[in-house]
Amino acid sequence: MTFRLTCPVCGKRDICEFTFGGQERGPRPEQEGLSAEEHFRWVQFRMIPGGAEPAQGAGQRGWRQAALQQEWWYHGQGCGVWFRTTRDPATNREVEGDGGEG
Amino acid sequence: MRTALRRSPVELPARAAATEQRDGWTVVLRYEGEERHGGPWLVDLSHRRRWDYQDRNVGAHTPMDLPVPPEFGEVGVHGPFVINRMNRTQAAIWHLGAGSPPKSPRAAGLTETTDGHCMLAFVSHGVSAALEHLTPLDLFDPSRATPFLTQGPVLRVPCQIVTFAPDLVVMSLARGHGRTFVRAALASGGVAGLRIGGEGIFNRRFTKV
Repeated sequence: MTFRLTCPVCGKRDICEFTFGGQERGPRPEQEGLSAEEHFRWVQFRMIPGGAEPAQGAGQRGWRQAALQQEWWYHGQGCGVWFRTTRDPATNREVEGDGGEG
Repeated sequence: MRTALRRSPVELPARAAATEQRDGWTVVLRYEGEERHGGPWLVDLSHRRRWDYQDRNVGAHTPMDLPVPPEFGEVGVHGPFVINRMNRTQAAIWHLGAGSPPKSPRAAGLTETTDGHCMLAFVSHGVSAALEHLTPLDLFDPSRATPFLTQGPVLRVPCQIVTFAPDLVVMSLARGHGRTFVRAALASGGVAGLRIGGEGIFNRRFTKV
């Protein structure tokens, strides 16, 4: 299986040119009063936005992720830019209009 | 005065017919028997001087008196110099014209990268057929005005590629890949007739750019 991503510098390219940089976690929480549990959750936990739901439709099995997620990607085989994109992990489709350079 | 002895990262399996010493490099101008082929040719340009220019807003500057192209992927040709806009913060400058290489200027943000890179040119008709065996990138996109820059993998090696015309493509890659890259390029591109050529072939074509 393959798909394409839109690099903000080079445009649409094959996924094999990119390295996944992880899910967007939001800003680092304030250090003041931060408990070990909260810090652990921010570092280690990855949320599935909207949770998960059973796959719909005839012939589909298993679970389908219900919402879009923001991700970081690195264009290592191309221009070397880190960028953020919003993607549906179930269909691998990007949302138009995202893709800020990091 | 002492001159540093420089050696190309590329070893080409052909016998040189005419060579020239230039700034410590042994430059092959012509290989034996190259006139018997009509191309396409693979030319080693690793001795050509190159610089990397970096700034947080690179588009607002004129390194070495060369204006940085405003858009990513644009290429400017100014006499013997070529300047490529890579991204928001980086531009690359290549000296591709004939004649003696310029001295490396002392300027903030400018780094000479000649000794760290390998540079190759693909010249003559049939270049597109040869390159189709080396990369899935579309280096001849008719919707882009030439010359233009593409950054992407050729033979799985990250390269900076400038398409000047359908019969002239120049690429730069990390020096360490040079030897195996050329071996693989000649093996894969040989299907489309890719042969080794001397610098003279490139010089004659580049003067028309």
